[in-house]
Amino acid sequence: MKKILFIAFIFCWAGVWAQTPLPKFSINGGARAVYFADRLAISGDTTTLPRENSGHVLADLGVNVRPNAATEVQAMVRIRNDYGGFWGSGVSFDIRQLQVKGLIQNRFKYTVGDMDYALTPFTMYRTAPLLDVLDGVPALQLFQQQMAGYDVFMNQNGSWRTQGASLDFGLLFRQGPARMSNALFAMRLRPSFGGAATEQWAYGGRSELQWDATPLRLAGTLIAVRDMPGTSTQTNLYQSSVLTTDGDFGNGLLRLHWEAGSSLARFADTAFTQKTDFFYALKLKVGKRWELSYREVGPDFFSPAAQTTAYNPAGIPRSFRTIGNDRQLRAASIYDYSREAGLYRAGWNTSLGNDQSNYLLLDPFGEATPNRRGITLAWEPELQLKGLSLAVSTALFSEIRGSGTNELTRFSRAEINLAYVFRKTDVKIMYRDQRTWRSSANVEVPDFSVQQPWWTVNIGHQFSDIFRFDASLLQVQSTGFVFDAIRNAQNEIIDFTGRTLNYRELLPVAAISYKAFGKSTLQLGIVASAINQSGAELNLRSGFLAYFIQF
Amino acid sequence: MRHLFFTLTLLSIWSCQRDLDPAGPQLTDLYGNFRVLEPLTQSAPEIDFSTGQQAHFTARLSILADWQIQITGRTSGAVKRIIGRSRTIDITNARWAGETTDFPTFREEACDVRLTFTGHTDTLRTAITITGIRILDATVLDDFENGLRPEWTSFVQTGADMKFVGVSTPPLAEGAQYYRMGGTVGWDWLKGLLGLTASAFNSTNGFGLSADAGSVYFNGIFRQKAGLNNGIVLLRFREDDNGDGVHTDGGEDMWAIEIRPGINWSLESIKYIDLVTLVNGLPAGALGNGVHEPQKLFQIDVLFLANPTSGYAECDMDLLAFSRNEPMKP
Repeated sequence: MKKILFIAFIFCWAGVWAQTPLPKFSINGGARAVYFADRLAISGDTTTLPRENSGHVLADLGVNVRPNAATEVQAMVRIRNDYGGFWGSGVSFDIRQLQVKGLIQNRFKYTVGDMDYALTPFTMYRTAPLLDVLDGVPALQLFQQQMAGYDVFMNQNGSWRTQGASLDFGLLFRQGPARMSNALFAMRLRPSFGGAATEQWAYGGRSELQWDATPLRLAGTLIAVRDMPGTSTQTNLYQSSVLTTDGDFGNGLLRLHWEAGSSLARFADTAFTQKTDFFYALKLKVGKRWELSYREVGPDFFSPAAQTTAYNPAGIPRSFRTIGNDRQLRAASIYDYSREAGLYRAGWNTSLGNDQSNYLLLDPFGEATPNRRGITLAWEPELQLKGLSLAVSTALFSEIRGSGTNELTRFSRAEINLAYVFRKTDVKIMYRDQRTWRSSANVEVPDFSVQQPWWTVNIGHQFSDIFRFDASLLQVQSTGFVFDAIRNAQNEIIDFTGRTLNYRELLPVAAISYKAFGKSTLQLGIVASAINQSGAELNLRSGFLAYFIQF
Repeated sequence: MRHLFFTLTLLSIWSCQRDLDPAGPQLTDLYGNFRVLEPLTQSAPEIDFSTGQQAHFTARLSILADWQIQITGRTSGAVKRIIGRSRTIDITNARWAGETTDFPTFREEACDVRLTFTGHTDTLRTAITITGIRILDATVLDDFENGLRPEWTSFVQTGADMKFVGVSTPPLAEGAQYYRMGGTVGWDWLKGLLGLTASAFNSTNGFGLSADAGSVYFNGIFRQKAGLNNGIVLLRFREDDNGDGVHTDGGEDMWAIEIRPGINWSLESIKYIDLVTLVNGLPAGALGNGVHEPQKLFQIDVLFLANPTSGYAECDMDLLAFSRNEPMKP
């Protein structure tokens, strides 16, 4: 303990408070106004009304109070009015955020209430691999970030919105590592509703050692999810623990990053099914242009906070909820994920659910997708032509444990991103080729063979500093023969549904945007979604007007 | 201490052992062609269940399939069904100890055995002969083979077309005779009742039941006359909580259950601990100490009830018995 210089980590935050007096009271938040004029067309559908218009205006009004130099209270209410609300009947008031944070003796930073929390991609990370495709469609990406993502508290750092408490503190050392930062947290994931459900909590912590003399960083992370005994009559309780270590070594030319760990999940079935497995991931960066990575995630590695996708693939959209003469529920598509918050999850799933074959097979549950091992190589060459940039990546993965057969399914992905800026016009093209295959040794069983090409093209023109026009085209496609895995609550595959996959989704978007102030955007545009699934066509078109501002 | 996380993580990784057997059902089972690789055979052409023998059947299929073996007595018409989902049918999943699924019970007779599959038209057949019928592992109160046992006390209302008699008209349930309760009583729900005290059943051991109410089952086979649905069989179990040799009405536990039989013979098995107190057909608080104590069972009542305005009512019963640890398997 003599090596410890002092048990106090001076947070920048604390320093800022100490040196720059902040107002004791301030208002923050955001507002938006959107209007959609939607039109649906399905051949042969004589039942569904073809038009649906919707829109709302809302304001998130936050109050930030600093009663003293070491305490901050943030509260935010949401006032929303759907267009057409008659004399206030369409108005709703909600509490959006309540948080208290502060410093204890200038040494410990605490947060109580609502927290946005993220750890590592294998422990706690809000993964959304499907939304990568929106990178090439700025208008839809803006909607996803400012509407659906904003409503469910999605952040760029992959944080989950939870409720609980956290404590951060640091240590400085005279020898060895220069500093150690620590974080402890506890989150209430599910209340017991008076015994109707079993209360569930998550808790854990992270410690990180940083050396100054050598380019080394070492960290350890633990997250545990527990059903709390005695909060309901249930005696079969779910438990999950994920313990990992990660770190970086090197700088400049070579930089190695790694994370490795294991999970233990005990499910709430009467058999007390227990699964344990491990993973490791290595990433080597060579200079600024090459990156090589390898990862192996065991088939029984289950990490609910990292494998739960931000969106719910089984969600049913609000707009044109039922379609066709037989009033079938409409499946959500990229068009819906870009604007409907109801298709997003607010909490973690303890089970993976069924496969999502229409879009993704290699990593449907993000980087922590279980039962995968493989390499990824990325390259960003230096090009001579001014304004032109190129990024290329390729990945080759396989299963670790066969699904219904000893033969392992293999996955490949090759992606090219090309961007060119010429004066005030920019062009961005992305093409991703994804393939999945498995040969069947038995002639009676069909081969698993799926091609999933994605591509986006965006042409943008910046008329002035405040006016911009974007025209984009996005297509995702899945063709071939797939075996969808059906899983039970213990993540065990209990059945396979073999089917011919023939899915195509095409989204043309055109939008003009106006950015008059720092964090505000006014956007006017049109978007269409043409879905062809096994010959059945579904066409959606929307005109939209949207205004977003944050203050 | 600084490297504790790192060390713990590596240890936890090294301690993991992966199960690399293919996950989920075999695809060849789901998508392969269905073929019978080995035909249906029985373990022996003749079987004597009375000596504890058991029969089993074997067959082998090319893929996982839902199957059903149906054994039908040629004389009695009794049916036993065994269902499963597997590629191999053997002693582990197709064993038969002489029990019945659809009454009547089997006799000493030749039986046809048929194996069918869900989703496939193939039917495999064999035969087996029963040379000795199954001995019940139960305390039989009455099988009504000779009408009502003399130890029962009975009361029959004065009504129209009253029938409280042993009957041998098919369809039978067990043996050659069962007991019929029927009649029209326009002024009362009660048509008649039977009572059997423990001391009358066996003056030394009574009903000889275990003190563990969770392991004692009361069983009976019941049916109702086709076209009627008004008959109710009310079973009452009177305990002698204080051990004074009598049951005191209203002061000691009287557990009960109502049975509304269907038109086909059906086995009803009730775990003693699941019995409740009924007052006018509705659950009520216990009348005695509230503890299910089968070893203190003093008397069993069988009441035949029907709404007095509903006209003629008729129910049949057979093979009233207590079994231990599991429902009776006639």
